[in-house]
Amino acid sequence: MKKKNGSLIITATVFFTFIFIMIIVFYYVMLAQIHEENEMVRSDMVASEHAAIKQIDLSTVSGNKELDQIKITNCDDAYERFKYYLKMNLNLDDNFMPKSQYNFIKGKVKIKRFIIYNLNKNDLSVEVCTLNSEGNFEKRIVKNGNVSTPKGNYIQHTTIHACIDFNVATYKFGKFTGTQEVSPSEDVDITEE
Amino acid sequence: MKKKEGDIQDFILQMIGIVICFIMMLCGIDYADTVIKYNDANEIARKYILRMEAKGYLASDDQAELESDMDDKGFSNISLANSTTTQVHYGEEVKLVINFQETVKAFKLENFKLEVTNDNKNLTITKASTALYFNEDGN
Repeated sequence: MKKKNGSLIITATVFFTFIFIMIIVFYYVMLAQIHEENEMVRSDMVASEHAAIKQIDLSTVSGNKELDQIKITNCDDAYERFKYYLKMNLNLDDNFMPKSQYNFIKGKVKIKRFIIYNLNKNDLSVEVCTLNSEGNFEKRIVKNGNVSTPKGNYIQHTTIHACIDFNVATYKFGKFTGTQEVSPSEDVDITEE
Repeated sequence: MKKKEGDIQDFILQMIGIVICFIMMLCGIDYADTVIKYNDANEIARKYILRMEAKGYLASDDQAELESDMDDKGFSNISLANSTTTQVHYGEEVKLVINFQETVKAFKLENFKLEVTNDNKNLTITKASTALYFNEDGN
């Protein structure tokens, strides 16, 4: 049987098309995986921010005071609580590195932003406490203004905003692991349960 | 019918392609399976930490249910030591620590033989939150 010209090209084309389709499928599966993992982390962030909000004085809750009057007065303590609960919920060690090699988080988790918004309902001013790069809080008061978080949510009660940054594993081939950087952020309002 | 040189070249190329695709798929499936299982354990932990927030501790019926859920997902040697099992008050820490064993498949290609081995890995998943539970005294 005589071999037709170009049959090798056709075979190679079919073969590389097959590999290309496989890469596309893997890519979309990977995107879905990153999306799901991002959602899981956001849920853990919310739990950690809630825990930081619990830093408030219990006596101000158990009385008949309105939630509008509650403020987070000790930003450092709230931040320490947030860090503690974040480590617990994301299964990180004291250096914010994942404890298990099977954790989808690869590498160090960095806290990009941590901002506390204390609303004073009397004059509608907002005390904004922002964590700076040295790990200290800078406070400023915004009077009679509409203040929103970096996510775009307007402050209606005392709120915590946090944003973290880390790499997730996308694929593993032998010793080679691909990673993708993600930066989930969450706002937690003191009235949310 | 005599095989021609071009046919053999095609055949070798196709075989190499099939073997590469097969190895890629095995590595992908193996890794995805491990991560999915770890995520499953995380999801279970999240479900029970929410119950603990509401109740203020991990109740004995929830412990049994959690162990059953983990067992259903194929995990073994489940231990809940160091978890909060006595009721705490509002704002106090509730902690869930799940120690378990996961069987991880490992593919090894040695001397042109593909070997599949099962390794048991000890893993720990922790979740922590604060209790939303108020007792009758309002604490």
